[in-house]
Amino acid sequence: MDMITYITNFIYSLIRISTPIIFIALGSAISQQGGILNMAAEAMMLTASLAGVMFSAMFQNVWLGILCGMGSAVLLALFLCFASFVMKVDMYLMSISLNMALLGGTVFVVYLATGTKNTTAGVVQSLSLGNINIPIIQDIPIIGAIFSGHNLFTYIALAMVFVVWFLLFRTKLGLRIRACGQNPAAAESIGINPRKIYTLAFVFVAAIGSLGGMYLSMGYQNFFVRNITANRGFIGLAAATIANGMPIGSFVMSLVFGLAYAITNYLKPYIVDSYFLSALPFLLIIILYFIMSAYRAGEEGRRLKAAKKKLAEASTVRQQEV
Amino acid sequence: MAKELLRMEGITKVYPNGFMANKDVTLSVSEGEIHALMGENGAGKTTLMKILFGHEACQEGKIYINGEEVKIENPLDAIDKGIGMVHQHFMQVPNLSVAENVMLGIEPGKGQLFDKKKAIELTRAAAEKYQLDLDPNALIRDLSVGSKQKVELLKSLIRGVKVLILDEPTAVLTPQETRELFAQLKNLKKQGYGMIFISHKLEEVMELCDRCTVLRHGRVTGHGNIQELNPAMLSRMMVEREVNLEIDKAPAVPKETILHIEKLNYVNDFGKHIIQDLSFGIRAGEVVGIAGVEGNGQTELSEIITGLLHRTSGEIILNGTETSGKKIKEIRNLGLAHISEDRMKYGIAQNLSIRDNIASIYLENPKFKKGPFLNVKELNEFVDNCIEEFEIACTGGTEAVRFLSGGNIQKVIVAREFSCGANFIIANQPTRGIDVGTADLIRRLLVKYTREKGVGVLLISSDLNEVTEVSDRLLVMREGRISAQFHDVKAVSTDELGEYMLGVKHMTPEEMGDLS
Amino acid sequence: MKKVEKIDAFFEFLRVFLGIVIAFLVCIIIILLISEEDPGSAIYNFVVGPFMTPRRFGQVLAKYASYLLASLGMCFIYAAGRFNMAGEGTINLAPMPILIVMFGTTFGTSIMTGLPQIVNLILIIASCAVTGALILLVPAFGRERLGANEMVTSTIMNYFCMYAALWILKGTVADRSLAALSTANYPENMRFTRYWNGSNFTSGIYVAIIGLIIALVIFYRTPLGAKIRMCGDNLQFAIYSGINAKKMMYIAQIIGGLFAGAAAAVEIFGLYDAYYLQLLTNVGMDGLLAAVMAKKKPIFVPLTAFIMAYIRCAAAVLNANTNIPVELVTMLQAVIVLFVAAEEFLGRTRRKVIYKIASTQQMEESKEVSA
Repeated sequence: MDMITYITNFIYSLIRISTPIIFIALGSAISQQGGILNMAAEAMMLTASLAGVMFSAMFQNVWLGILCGMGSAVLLALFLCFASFVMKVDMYLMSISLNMALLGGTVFVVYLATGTKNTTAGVVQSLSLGNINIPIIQDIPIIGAIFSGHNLFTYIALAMVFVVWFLLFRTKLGLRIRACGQNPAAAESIGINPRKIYTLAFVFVAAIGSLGGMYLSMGYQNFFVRNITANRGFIGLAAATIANGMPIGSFVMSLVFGLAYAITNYLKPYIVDSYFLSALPFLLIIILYFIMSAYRAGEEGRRLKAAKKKLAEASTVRQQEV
Repeated sequence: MAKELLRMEGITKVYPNGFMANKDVTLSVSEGEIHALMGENGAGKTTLMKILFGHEACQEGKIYINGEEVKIENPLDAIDKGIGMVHQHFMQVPNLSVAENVMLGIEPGKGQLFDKKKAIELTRAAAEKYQLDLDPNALIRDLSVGSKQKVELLKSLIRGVKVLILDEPTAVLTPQETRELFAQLKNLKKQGYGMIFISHKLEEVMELCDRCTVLRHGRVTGHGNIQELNPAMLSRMMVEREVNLEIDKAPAVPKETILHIEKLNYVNDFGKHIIQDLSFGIRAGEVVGIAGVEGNGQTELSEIITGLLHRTSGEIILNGTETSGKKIKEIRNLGLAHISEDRMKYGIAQNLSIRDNIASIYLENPKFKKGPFLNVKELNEFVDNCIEEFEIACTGGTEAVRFLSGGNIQKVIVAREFSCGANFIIANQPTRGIDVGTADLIRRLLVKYTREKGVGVLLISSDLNEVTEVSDRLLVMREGRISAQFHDVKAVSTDELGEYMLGVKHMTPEEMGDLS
Repeated sequence: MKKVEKIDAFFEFLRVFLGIVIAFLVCIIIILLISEEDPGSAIYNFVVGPFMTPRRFGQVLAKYASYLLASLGMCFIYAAGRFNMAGEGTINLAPMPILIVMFGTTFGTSIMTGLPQIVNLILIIASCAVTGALILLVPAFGRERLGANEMVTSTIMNYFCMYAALWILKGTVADRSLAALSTANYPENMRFTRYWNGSNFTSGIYVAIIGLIIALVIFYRTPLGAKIRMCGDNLQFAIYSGINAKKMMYIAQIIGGLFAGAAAAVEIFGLYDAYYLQLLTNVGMDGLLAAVMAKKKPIFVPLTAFIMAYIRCAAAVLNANTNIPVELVTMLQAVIVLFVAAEEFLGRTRRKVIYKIASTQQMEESKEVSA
């Protein structure tokens, strides 16, 4: 029995730990489909995470807070698009400097609001979403312990997998995002403006990614601390990149990285070298990324070879006919 | 008389740099008519079609659709008004399905939703209607070139266009696919579509088209019903030799063979046989010209010789060494210099200085090295000499190449390639799009190097003036083969040359004689 | 032709200059808005503070040395058309091998202590540089061999390097007698000498100067540098010219790693007395920004690296003397990047001026012809 409790607890915490990564990975999957790396993932999460805290405290309404958090991340994304598409700054360069700016900028704002630089806890009366017990399911043994009692954000994250899949594969915008990602010239030749599509895509990227930031400051805990995201943005980006922008793949990859974190957390008490464990998830990401890249490169090569062979055969047959 | 679908009248287009691309061009297409638009590269066909499809604006002229005058602002506008274009480079998204590609931009479905089933249904129905054999669920990347072209056709047809522009549609197709395409086009013709068929392949035009308009230097040089024309007449309208360039040259004294090509074959990634059993040779001290309509394998030939492209089979022996499997640097070291036809893509690095651009092939040359470093003094001297000798108009060796005019950029390339001491120079379209003075200089240099330094030159050019004036021996290339050889180049008439280039006439191997 | 070239260069300069000026103005406005005390002294502290005492200026020069090296390395990577950002992680991880030797082997504890300082320093720099090159080779391999985006790999690498460094620190070379996770203080002959009465300004500056000379020579005066530049500007042209482009990509990133490693040596064995936890230096990222400001041209790096070092220190001085947090500087950097890297900033004016000159030139030419 004890073992089972242990395992269910582990899976429960795996889902909990993966939640923010799932959000930002799904967001990044959209931009990945549009052919752009969401390098500003970290900045989006940080912005939303702090803005959600501040605005929920201001309005004393958690939903209004979340909406404002989302809005601020979307504004950031729009600024990024303006800088890249209108001012012609290299998009990745701008993204990287935004990450740095927001890492400092959020601390700056926290300081202005509280007088300390580390956290909003105790000073800003922010609100948060609570945990939810799902009727019926919560009464099922094991399954209830794993799937019930999570934060509302976590359930939204699971629903988001479907939402993003639907957006990408069942809407007109999704089709256009995928088209622009692979051949912007083709889209342009039939009157679709790729820059407009990218900008729209980034609005969704920011809106969905922002929830990951807000889960950290309004779900998992109810205050903001400096560097609250602790590079989860990049991990989400990596998840989406490894999954090649497929929503379900991104979700699975997020769980894999969440698992790495969960194992790390669970082993920490038993292993002295906790830093080694902290390094492990990153090592895992690099190895997985390399393996997937090698596999894809090989796949592409095999596909080309097969196609060429087929064509060569067809042409010899034709010549024989002639 | 069938109803007139489209009429372009008195179109004149002058580019900002003063180049007149079209002058008073008139063209009309009727219902159920395939109208051939012919002319050599640079004759103004592409510009005319860009104007029609809304990519460019013209200074003078009117466009009528169904008898009404219209203004076409952009491609979307053109499609709305019933004009569709099948681009030579397909505008398709490789990882999307046929249905998704066809429906992109006009997706079926309520509101923002994309109804995939309906898209497939609509695509299938349209494909059946136009008898295009396509699987709506197949991914574009898995299709053959012929099928991709069908998708391109369907994309236009499903948008309800009545006039189709086909930009050299057969250039990328295998003969089998070409036959299939023609059957489809004839079918569309029956259904009342009007088509503009851009091509410079005479037999295709003779087989498929009803009327034809020929452009040369932006002007209409001939038009009429195909039935009333014969290939020789068409060829004469297309090909001309305006002024007689006069280059004084001593008679060539060909010596030993420098480049020997034997049974060269190249099949591209899409299975098209671009170069077929090509064999010829070039000797020291002669300029061998290759004339031919572009797209008959000349580009691939020059890229294979220089190592940028890998051959399918065959031998290339440069100065006694087989080049197969050699790196570009090694082939260059065998004594090759290369003027590429795409100046901006291969010839230069725009943001770097003239010095760097000239130095690019001399970086490992001991003359310009001092230990591990560049011998800057020597290099600067060399570059200054180049600037002086080749009359490059610039402020000095440190000026970035992007500030130079086209002619001076070409001089930079020529200076680099001609000074490297190679005994074989391959010059692909060396004077295209540059001023008369520079063009003349380059032609004279080609002749001078063969006479004085015993260099062998392969000159590939679609400029007949150039190729007949400069060459000591002239080959005609058509469909990846040599179709004619002339030893007495000056005696060849333009009409005759045109007939060989366009496939009206062929020489037998006996008539051609020894190609080496 | 002459004029257009000059105008072009002038606008390039103007963009960088105005970018910095605007960023400073934004900062000053923010300071005015939030400063609780005397805003005048806050601005004074910010603008001239770093120059006021040898201690502060020593800090500027110390940062300058590391930024200069990191940025020069980044110029090579960036000029080859790659965006390998593992320099940040290099600062953390590259000193580890030599630290292990220093504190964990008998060679370090008995022989190195007796060696002259210069020999030890050469060992330190060489070890750091080689480790740095190995670190940057990982994303480089992923990109050139497998087609994995080097930006993603290098970003993830940075975090891996940080934790791996801490792991090695804790597991091997940390001084257990100290409360904090840290090595023992470096022996005097195994670190750069502090100048100016113990300020952070150290003999590391000589490494930076030598590095600068080496970088300039390689970049502008060797076949290698020329090849890297050609690959970055037009890959097709480089291939056509017979240059082995793939090899150049590797070499550019290895050079970047060597320089980042040298920057790590100068930073870790210069500014600090021991290697300790939470050494988040930002040298890699600031070096990257300095390279961006210099437009990938090492010749401008001495200036841009100085600006970066100055900005960092100005913010630190401000932070120490007023209520304004040091994080202000990160926003300042974003504003600088926005303007410096924006091709369209002043783009319209630039096109107008160039068009005007070109058309007057043409008119003059045509007059000459008709005359």
